[in-house]
Amino acid sequence: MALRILDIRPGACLAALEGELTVYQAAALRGEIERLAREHPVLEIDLAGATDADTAGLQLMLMAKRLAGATVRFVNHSPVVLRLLELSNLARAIGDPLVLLSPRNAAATEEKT
Amino acid sequence: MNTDMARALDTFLEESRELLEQMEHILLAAESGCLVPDLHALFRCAHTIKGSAGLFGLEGVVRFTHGVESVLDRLRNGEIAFDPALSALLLECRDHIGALVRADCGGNAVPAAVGDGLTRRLQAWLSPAAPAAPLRPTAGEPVAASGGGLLGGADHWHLSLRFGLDVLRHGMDPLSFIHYLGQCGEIVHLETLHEGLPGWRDYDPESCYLGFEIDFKSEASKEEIEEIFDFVRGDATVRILPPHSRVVEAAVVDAALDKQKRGEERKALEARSLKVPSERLDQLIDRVGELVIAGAATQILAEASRQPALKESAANLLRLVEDIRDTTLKLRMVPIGEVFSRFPRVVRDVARELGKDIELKIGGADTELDKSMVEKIADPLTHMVRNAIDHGIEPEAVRLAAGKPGRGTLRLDAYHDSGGIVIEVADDGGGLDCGRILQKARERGLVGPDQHLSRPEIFRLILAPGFSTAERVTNLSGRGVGMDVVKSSVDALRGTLDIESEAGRGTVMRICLPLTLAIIDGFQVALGNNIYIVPLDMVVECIELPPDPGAEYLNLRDEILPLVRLRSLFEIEGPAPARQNVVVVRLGRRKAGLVVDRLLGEFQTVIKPLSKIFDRLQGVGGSTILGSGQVALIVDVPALLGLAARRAEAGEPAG
Amino acid sequence: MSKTIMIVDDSASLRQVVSMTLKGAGYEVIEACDGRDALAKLKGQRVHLVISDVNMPNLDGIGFVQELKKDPSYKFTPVIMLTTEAQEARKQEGQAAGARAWVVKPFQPQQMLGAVAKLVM
Repeated sequence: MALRILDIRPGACLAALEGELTVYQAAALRGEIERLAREHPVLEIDLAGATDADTAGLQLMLMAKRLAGATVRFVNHSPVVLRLLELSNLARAIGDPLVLLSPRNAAATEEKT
Repeated sequence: MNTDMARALDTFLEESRELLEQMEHILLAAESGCLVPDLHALFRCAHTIKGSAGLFGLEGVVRFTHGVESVLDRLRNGEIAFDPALSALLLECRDHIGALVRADCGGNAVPAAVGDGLTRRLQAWLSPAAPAAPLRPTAGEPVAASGGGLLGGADHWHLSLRFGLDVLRHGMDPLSFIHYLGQCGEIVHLETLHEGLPGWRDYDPESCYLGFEIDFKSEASKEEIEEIFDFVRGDATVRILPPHSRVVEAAVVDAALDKQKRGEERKALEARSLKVPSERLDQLIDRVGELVIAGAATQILAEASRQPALKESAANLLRLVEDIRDTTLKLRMVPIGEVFSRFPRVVRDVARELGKDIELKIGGADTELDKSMVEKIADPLTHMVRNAIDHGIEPEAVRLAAGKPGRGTLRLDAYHDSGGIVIEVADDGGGLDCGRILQKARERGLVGPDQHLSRPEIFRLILAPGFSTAERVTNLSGRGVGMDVVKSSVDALRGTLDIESEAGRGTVMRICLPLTLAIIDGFQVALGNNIYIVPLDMVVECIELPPDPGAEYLNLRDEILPLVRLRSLFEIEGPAPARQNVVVVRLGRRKAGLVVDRLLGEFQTVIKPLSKIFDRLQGVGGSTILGSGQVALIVDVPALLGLAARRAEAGEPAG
Repeated sequence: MSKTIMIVDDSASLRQVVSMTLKGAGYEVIEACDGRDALAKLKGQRVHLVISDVNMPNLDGIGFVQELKKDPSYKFTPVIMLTTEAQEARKQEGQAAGARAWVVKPFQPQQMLGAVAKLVM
């Protein structure tokens, strides 16, 4: 399971991504997001645990935002995800509030990868 | 230096010559203001020369070119703008780079002071205080530009990336490439295009649907940027627009892309042509010449054999040989534009030095002639052009006083005419002053005090060695060298030089040259037992000589033609036959009748250079071996026409 | 999280130089001397990039990439193949096997770093 459910409230589901937001997990994530969004009108996905992210992951975020009949929100973006959003200049298009990388964090992220 | 290195150095020499030529072109275009100069190409020229020179350790070239490159970089970035002083300076720098390259490759050394002086002058354009003017008008700029958005800023590259569906499956991550791009320069602005994303149902999370539009600031070349995307070449469309491309609307983008593509196609086309050392070509032509002779001999034998099959086969063979001859000769043909292209610079420099305003008009640049002629005609033409500017075209004040436009016009023209090529240098200046030429000639004892000369004769006096009517000696001409050199160069090419001039209206100098020096179609004539060949393309018609022994002229349909009697010219012994014939020849505007014994008809001829013994044989331009093995001399028609004209003017019998 | 790169080449000195260069740039490196050795060392662990020579004993580069791409764990793993100028035909095979990136030998360490940086963020 790429998504671990943390909490379910009436009409909403909070799940955490485990592992990578990359092409390796994209197919699995697509299925799980679709299933959860059908059951819960609001789906909040915590990205703090995303260890890696790539173009496929970014696409998945964009797609999730377009999912009909449900609202998907991404929260707690991990540094790799933030960096990807910054690089692609898509933060606005995806529209979730972000905790922006401070220069020091950004530098730390650079170092790590 | 090992041979590989020497060969590479040769390539570098050739390459830098081409690049310097391109620089000159662009700089002249910039100076004339009539074209938008390609500043990136200009930069690249200097950049490439510097880079390659570095490989060969030509430190002098690298050091000097570096300064030039820096200025060109500011220029292409719009930090400074072209003005006459800058383009003049850059032209001088371009010349200096050429001199440095030649010096490093075994030519004459260049005084260091020249380079130092230029470098100092370049400094003025490198200081931050240099005036920064907008390079192009900003009207019509899209609104997006002001916000630093995608399509506006002009000093960076614009990249359009469209990734294929399979790129992710191939293990390539588009954003990883963009991340790398960010390390090779500055991503000024990036827009991810996600309009291509499908509906949820059709969405394959392992397919890529994204595209990117990127404004990218970098010192990298287009090639270097292209190389970044090497690995996704099959999985992405990458379009790169250089800085300063005005991307106003889609149509313009497309046009630019088209242009980019066309440029690449042209490059590909150039790659399809071969460079062949000219001596190999000459060897081939020599062999083809032998082949033509051998073919003709075979045909003569076949004709004599009375075997129809053999005759037909020999005729086929000869036709193929003729085809090969034509194709081979075409290999040597190049457009005269190769020579003409140097003249915008010559005219500009000379005119500037003399403080004259002169417009150069070039016509017929695509007229083709033999490569060896192109090389040999360049210097005489340069002399003529300098002369025309210096002596031909009057100073502005004089022109205005005479009711002429202040700006002088110099015309260079080339066209094919009666089997030859005609090159004209025409000016709209004051024309040749007959009185002054005659006076000068009398002072120098070239003409006797009582001798009367016709106008063409007087004009021809300026071709005499050491003749100059210039009242003041300038740097350029008027030192008494020039026209006689031109004359002998043209003579050496078996051509003619004519001068037409009208007081107050200008002068036309007309050079007529044969198209090639190698092979001609000949018309055989006989004088006694000797066979002579007249180049067929100069033959107009043949008629029987009217029975009037000793006549110097022939009235041909009311046109008076001077006659050249080849029998007496070539000192043929024995009595002339009762009936002789006239071969009417023409080159350019000159015409004459050559009196011969018999007409034998057309024959293919190969010109072989005459040995030294024949050097002084007037009227003979070469020799060939006939199919029968007999040697035939080739009549030098231009020389005979000249002789006829001189004698006609002097009132002497010709031949 | 630092990225892991595998270098497969039968030349120990080449592996050494590449490995040193990559480690110096902050990557984790796994070395293998041929295709068979590489497959044995992978065992499902996450690798972000594979750099492989073409001509190797036991299992050559092409065969190795074919096997690698069959494993779902490496389906999307980019591969850089090391070739010489004269290996156009092998390039086709490598392409078919799933390799898209090529670096021509001999190369400078910096060149390799550039190629790696295009494929691994």
